[in-house]
Amino acid sequence: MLSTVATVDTAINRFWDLISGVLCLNPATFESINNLPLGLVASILVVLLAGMSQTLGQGAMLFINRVKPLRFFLSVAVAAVLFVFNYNFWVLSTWLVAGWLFSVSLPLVEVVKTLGFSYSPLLLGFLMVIPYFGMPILIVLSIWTLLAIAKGLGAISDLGIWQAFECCLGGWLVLQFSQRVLGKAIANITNKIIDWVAGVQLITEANYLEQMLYSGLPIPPVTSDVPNLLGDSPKQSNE
Amino acid sequence: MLRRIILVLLALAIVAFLSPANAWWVQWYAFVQSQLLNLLLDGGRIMGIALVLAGLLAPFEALGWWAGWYSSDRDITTLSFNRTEFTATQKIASTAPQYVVYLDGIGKSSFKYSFRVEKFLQRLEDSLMKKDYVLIQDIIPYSVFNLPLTINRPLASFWQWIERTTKLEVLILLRNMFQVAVSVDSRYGPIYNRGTAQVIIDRLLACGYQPGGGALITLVGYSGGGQISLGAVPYLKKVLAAPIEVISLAGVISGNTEVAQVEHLYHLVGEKDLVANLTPYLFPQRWSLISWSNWNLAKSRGEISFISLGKVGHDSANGPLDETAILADGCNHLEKTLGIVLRILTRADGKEPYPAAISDAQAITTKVVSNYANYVRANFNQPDYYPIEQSYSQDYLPVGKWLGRLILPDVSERSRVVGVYFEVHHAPPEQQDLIGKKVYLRWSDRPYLQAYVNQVKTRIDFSPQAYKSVANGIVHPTRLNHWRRVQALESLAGARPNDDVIVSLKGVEVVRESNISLYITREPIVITGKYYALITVVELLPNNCAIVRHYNPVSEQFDGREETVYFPQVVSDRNEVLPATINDITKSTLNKTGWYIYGAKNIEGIFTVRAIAPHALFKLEPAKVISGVRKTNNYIHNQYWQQVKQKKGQIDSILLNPRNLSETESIDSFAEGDRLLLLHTFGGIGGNKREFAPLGIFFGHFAFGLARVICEPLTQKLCFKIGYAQVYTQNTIGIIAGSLDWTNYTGDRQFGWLGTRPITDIIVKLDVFDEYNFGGLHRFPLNAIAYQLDRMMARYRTGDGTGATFVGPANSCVQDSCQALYQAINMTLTEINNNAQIKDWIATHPQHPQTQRLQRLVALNKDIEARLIPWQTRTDWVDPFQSLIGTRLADRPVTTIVNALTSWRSLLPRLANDVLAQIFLNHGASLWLLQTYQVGGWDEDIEPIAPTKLWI
Repeated sequence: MLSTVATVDTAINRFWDLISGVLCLNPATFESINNLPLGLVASILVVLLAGMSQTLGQGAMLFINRVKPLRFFLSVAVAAVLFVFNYNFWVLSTWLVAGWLFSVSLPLVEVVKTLGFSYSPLLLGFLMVIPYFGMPILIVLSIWTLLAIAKGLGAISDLGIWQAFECCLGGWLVLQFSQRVLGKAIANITNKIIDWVAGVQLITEANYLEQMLYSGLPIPPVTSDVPNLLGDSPKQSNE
Repeated sequence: MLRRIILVLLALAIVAFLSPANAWWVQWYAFVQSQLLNLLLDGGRIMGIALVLAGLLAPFEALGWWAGWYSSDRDITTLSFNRTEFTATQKIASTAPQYVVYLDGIGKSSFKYSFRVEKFLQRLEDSLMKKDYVLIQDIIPYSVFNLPLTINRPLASFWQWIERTTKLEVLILLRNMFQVAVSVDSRYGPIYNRGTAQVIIDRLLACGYQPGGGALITLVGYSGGGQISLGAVPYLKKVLAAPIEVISLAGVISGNTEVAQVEHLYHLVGEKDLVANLTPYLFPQRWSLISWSNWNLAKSRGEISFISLGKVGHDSANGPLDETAILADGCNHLEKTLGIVLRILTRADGKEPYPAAISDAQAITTKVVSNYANYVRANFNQPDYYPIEQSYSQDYLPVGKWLGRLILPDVSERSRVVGVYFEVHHAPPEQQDLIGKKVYLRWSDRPYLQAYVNQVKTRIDFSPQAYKSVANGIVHPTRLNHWRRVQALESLAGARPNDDVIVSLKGVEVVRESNISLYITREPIVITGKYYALITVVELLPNNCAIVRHYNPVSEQFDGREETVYFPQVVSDRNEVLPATINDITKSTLNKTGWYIYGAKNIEGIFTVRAIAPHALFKLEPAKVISGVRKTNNYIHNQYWQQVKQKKGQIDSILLNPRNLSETESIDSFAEGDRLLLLHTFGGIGGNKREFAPLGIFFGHFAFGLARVICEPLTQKLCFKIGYAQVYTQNTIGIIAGSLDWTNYTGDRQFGWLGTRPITDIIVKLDVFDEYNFGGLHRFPLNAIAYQLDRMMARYRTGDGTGATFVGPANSCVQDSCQALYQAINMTLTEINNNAQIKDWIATHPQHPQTQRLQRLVALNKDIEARLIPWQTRTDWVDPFQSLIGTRLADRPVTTIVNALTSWRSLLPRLANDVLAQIFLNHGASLWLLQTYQVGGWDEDIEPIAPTKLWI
């Protein structure tokens, strides 16, 4: 029994194979993702790791807020989980858009698996940490991811590359729109979770971040003693 | 010959193929084919991974330091403050030394300098020792806590080994290069630069630097040190309020930095320096394409001097500090570099050895003559037309206690004068002996005043726009070009090309030592005419003279002494408009109520009238009182600029009384000694000689001012005395941004607007601006407004160091006046909020009328904020360091437009004026409108035009 399980190919066994296939934008890989068992688990794993990697890359904000080490890693982990949720919403909206815009009827699970693995380039998201060159790296990774998504969608349906793009864009727009409409509550909840995990109220606005950095410096108070430019006595008139 | 060579080759071939060495050869060849390539690839891969790893780890020193991951016991991000006491300078800052901070290149691993750098620093120190300089070294620019690589680090022994053996030094370069990248990075940079700034600040304070003292700091950054120094600048500015210059030695500078905040950047680069010359390609902000970047902005403002070091490389041998490499002119690299650095550090004022390359400074050949230059050609517009020592009959009184002329000292005299010269024309009786003498005029050394004085000190280097503007006939402070630490008195005295600024002084303290000095606590007020009288014109004589009759205080009629005075024919402006005329002045309705005349006696002893003022305008006798909130609002909204053409030559004096007081009650609320805020607007010149107004829109001008209710000594009656706080851009007439008396700005027959422009001055009687007394602690919002306006005017005079201010959508007379008002009220409220004693007083006196008055001030502030900046606060209004006066649209299109839109109600002078007036009305203020419509003699060729309001 045990031996049979070990010899059966699963998406977990062939995890790195599949990843490198996706990185090479190989259409055959996308097909095998959907044929292999445990594909769903593996794809969620990719998204989770990608989320973690990317949050690590964006960690500077946590540092400015002076989050302690343990809390830092917890925050990264929680952010990765939230990333997965966000991802699933996006897949859902993309799936809806694909069905509505191009009347493509795909099983949702297949889309989840495919798009999940398309996030493979973002596994390198931690490279964003590299100073100055990190930002261009992120741009390259994002384009790469987008290409993988388009290829993936193309592989499991008969959508052309541009149509696949349109689906993604449509899905993204729908997601943005729904986040604006009912997003305030969601954003509040996620912020609360993150703040709770981080142990401090995280400040993310650029202006306030800048102000934080000035704390601890002996900045002179804004002229508490204004020179008396109007003269001493208010009732001196005959000048 | 050929045969011999072939023989040798053949012999060698036989030996090679037949000997056992052949096997090795073949083996080696096979290895090359199969392994070497792989080996090279592997090597490359390992290096790549190492690079990525180094990159990944690079930010964490700074990040962890800030987050406090490395030390749990103490908060290292807070600067200890025990060493120096934080006070404003007690002494006048002339003796403050200059601080030079050296930041080394990326080869640095410990406090030990390389022998070249050491030599450079040694010679620099020797050269500066005799003078007043403090050289600060021993800073590790590549560590946020100034920790060398070789101490207290996990890999310390490894770095020590590298330093000892001088092998693999490239690793140090690599490690530090990544730290430079951290400083450049927009995410980590702020943290990293905060760290290095703290190290620098700490050292400066330890060396006795006085924050706010205004002593110059020069950061010398070699290679990566250039970026590090510029990164630290915003923090240094904020903490030390210091003027900062940066000398970049072959500097790697990203352009992401706030380079525009620096007084000046000297960028020294060798022609063979690949590193510094390639840097610009790496950073988009330095591409000329991104014209609105900080870097390009600073460049266009003439704040960056590019200096070539000659055919010099980046570092080590052939670098700028190499003593062995010799340049074509015979001196070695070190000498050349040192020479340039020393010339910059020790240069004298007024002589900039390396001005920024401003191409069109000399190229401009066509020059327009300014109105000012034309005006001062007339002898009566020159100071020496009026002998100082003259006696006046009792019909004349001096306009102030201390009157005289400001004289700008020569560059070489500055350190001695510490201010300007003052030629005393009139002095109080006990100081009569000073009349005619040239004394020193200085700021009082009270600490709070010195803090203000230092705050507005700046160096002046004309920007290309300033040079262009000079050529276009605009009056700029040309005499102050390339001066450093120009203070407010110098910028006032030097605002025009000639020493002809006549001022009245208040709050004077005379110190008689070897030299006589006057110490003042308040900005001098620019005046016209030193003596004044109240007259009516009886008859005009043909030689520009007139017979006038003086006012008789006994009869309260114009039946006093008759006298002939001189009304010189003024010079017309470029549009041929005469600023003033006495044509038909006897027919003016205002002649019956009389004129104040201001001037002095000329060499023939005839009183020469330089300014006039209609007597009726200043009396506390309104022609009309309008009552009720709705009616008064409506008057401001719809009526007060109506039918200006019909009113030519006349005045209006209207009291708006929103609280429905009785007429006498509302007039009597203006009591002697009152100091009141004033809103000033003017309109345009129409008629035959109409001025240019695009699309028929005349924007006009707005300013704040201060009116006082005084008992006028000649009539012994209450009247208004008006002074303006003119936030005025440089102009062709030579109007100075400063405290200008009514006689100078309006009444002056040559330089004023009384005769040519319709003017509305609104005097605001609003009790919330009055003084507050919290159990002995006085707070006076109007004083805060005066302070903010003085600061703004001083900045306008110097153009924040560029020598020019221009009207733009985000910065103009009206925008920046409103900015001053906003900051002043905020400052007062913040102060009250932060003062425990005041808070206690308020808590214990909740029902006191003063507490309620304060609450109304808070409400007023909210209203002003809501109306003037409706949707977000302009960042440059909160942080005064950000404001770049005269920012042109082309400099920063997005910021400028966003800023302009943010405060759109203060975009147009009339709109801002009306909005403010209505806010004040709704908060219960009485407004007294004083309007003049081209008053004086009759000029057929002009008509008044109301300023455009556009909408709402």
